[in-house]
Amino acid sequence: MRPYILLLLTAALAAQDHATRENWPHYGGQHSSWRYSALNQINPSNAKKLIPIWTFQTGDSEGGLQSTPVVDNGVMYVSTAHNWVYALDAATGRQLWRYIFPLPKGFTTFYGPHSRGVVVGHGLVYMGTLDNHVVALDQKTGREVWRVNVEDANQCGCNITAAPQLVKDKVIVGVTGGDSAHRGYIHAFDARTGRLAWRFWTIPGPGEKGNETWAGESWKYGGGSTWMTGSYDPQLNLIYWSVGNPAADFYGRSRKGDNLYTDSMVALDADTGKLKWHFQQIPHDVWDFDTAYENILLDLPVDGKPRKLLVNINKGGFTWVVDRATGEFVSGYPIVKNINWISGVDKQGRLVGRNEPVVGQTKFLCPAIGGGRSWNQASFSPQTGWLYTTAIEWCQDVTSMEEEPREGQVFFGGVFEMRHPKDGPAYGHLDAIDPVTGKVHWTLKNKYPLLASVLTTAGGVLFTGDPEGHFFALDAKTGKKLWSYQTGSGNRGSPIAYSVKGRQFVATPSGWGSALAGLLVQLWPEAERFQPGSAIHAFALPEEGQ
Amino acid sequence: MKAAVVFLALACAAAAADADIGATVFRQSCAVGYCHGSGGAAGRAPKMLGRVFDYMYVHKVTSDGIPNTGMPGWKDRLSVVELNAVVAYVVRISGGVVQEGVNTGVLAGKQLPQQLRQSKELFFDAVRAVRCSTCHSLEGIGTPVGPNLASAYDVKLIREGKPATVRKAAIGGDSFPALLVETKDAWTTLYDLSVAPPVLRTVARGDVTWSGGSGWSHAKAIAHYKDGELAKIAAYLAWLSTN
Repeated sequence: MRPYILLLLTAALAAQDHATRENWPHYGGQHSSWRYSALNQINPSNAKKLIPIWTFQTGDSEGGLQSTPVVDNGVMYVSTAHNWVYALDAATGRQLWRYIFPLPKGFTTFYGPHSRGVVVGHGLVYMGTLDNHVVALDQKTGREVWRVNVEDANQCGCNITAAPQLVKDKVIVGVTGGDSAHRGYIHAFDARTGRLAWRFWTIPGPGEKGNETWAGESWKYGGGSTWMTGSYDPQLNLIYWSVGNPAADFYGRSRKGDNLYTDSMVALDADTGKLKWHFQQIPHDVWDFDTAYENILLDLPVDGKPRKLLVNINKGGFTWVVDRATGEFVSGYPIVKNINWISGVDKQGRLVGRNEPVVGQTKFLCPAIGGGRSWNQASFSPQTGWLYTTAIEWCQDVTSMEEEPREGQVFFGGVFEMRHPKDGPAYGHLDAIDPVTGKVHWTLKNKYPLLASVLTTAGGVLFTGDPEGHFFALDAKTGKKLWSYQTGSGNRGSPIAYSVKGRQFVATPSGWGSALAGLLVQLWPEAERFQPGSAIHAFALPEEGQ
Repeated sequence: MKAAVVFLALACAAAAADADIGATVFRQSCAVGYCHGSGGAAGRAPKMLGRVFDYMYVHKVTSDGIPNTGMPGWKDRLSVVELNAVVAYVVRISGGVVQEGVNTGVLAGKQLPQQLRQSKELFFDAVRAVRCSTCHSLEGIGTPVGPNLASAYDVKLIREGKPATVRKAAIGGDSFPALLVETKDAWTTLYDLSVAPPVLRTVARGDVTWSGGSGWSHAKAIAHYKDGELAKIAAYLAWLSTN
């Protein structure tokens, strides 16, 4: 029976190819966001021989380096915190061109400077900017071809920091601003001309279905940001995006109702942006637990039947698995043990035992605002069939307070202070779990939260990094540490794998920074001394004679 | 004597009110989220407690911000009263001394009259997919595609705009209404006005040909604004042109 199940699993996975190979084309690897490479030169037996091949310093270190580099035909494209874009020879690290987006003089942003990457296609390199533009650059020269201002950043208090998604002839971008008095959206632009193709408001306007889930005028400033990158299923022609928390974060009295489509996974027609289905994880969120993170698309059998699944880990430390054709709930499970904002979910995936902040009082809630996991993405390996995700055990004191919106300005409705859990010091962990049941196969504990994305490869090796600067390799089957390299600055970006002329490389950004990195200081004062930076490091096995 | 007591009581009440304003502004704008933390205990941004900040330094940083970081300037986001109050609050929790009555260089700008607030909101109305600020910049907000509007306009002029400057550009087989921005060396930069928001495109000079009769109409672009609304916007523009 068991081999049969394994065969079924293998067949299901072979039917669709979600792995990257020579190139790393999209933010999440391929459109299904597995962050899994089919390259297998580096394996648990030889990983200890990995050597640094090149390092590239971007020179833009304020904010760190949170990027996922993309690789196309031996050229790596990477964006930095202040929207500089580099094209590098992926084999040597040699700079081919640099583009610096002209941010307004003295520009600042509440969410802090960062850019999580670019996407390449149609001979162009696409990036969203801190001041809410989308730009397209000539892939060969870095010359700007088109630029469009989605909305004035000084008015909306929002930015585009996620890597754009490229689906056929459209470049699709989200927006930050979920903690500001702002109404979120997703925009699709014609990839060649920059002309607006469609817009999806994450909060329906008057007369639209879902607007009735917002009291009074609260929909106008209700948050619902779309601050990470979507996934795409070409067979269903659906794109999947996550919509963040409603604003004000901790104060919900003035926005009574479910607050659609905040904290929801939305499936949109890739050509028109029309909503196909939605699944709201947290109706009327008062904890700032965004449904913001990646949507991992898996075809797996559930109870013996093949299912098209979507796995989404919520900031609140809980994971929702749904059918990605219909939005039907399949399963749910926690990835951390310190959860007290709910007691669980029922058989339909609905919240049970809500433990809400109380206006004017301070309440101890877990996990902390930084999340049971941060945005740094998980990885799925079809070799093991496991999902590899980081997780954080930490808590906070939340004081909810009444607040009126001021357009484009921060809109939290309260304050918080980070706290250690009741049963011991806060810590991070990396787990290998079953993506449908959440069953844990192995765990690696870490003193600090692990805030870099995870990469797995067909060589059976997992790569990620830590805040102290170590970039390391584990055996994906056992979690055993195989190799480690000190990159000189905390890891807050996303490693990738690619190959040039048959040689496999693994590259990672290093560069400590980000809003969350700053919060670590409340629990670990020594984190104030973690070195900032902004560099790409590429590794490979020694060639003969090396 | 009685008058002095009343004056003192009023002064104390005013100071207490300022302290309240400072604490509220700090909570809503500074302590928030990822920044200075509850009561200045620190988040991502530096902690305030026990740092003994210099009053003028805090005033400058609070007013102007720190470029290329997460610290914005607040002089355009807060009233002078709020700004002074939050600076005093920060200096106090840092253990520093608040300097009363010094010239901080922050002057109260001319406040938009109450009756023009809605006029301004209409210009920047985020609920509309296309609003005036999609193509015009005022008070540092908006994309400066169209002409500078800091002069008096009436409803008719707003409705009609200045369409003569919009021409038809053709690139390959694609023709569209466009505004020429500049031609420099081998490159032409233009705003493509096919759909809002406008797209700033840079193309090889020889690849674009220009002709009249773009078919673009300002009236069509702003058809969703009613005449009454345009009258209000005209009043806002008039106020700006004299202030």
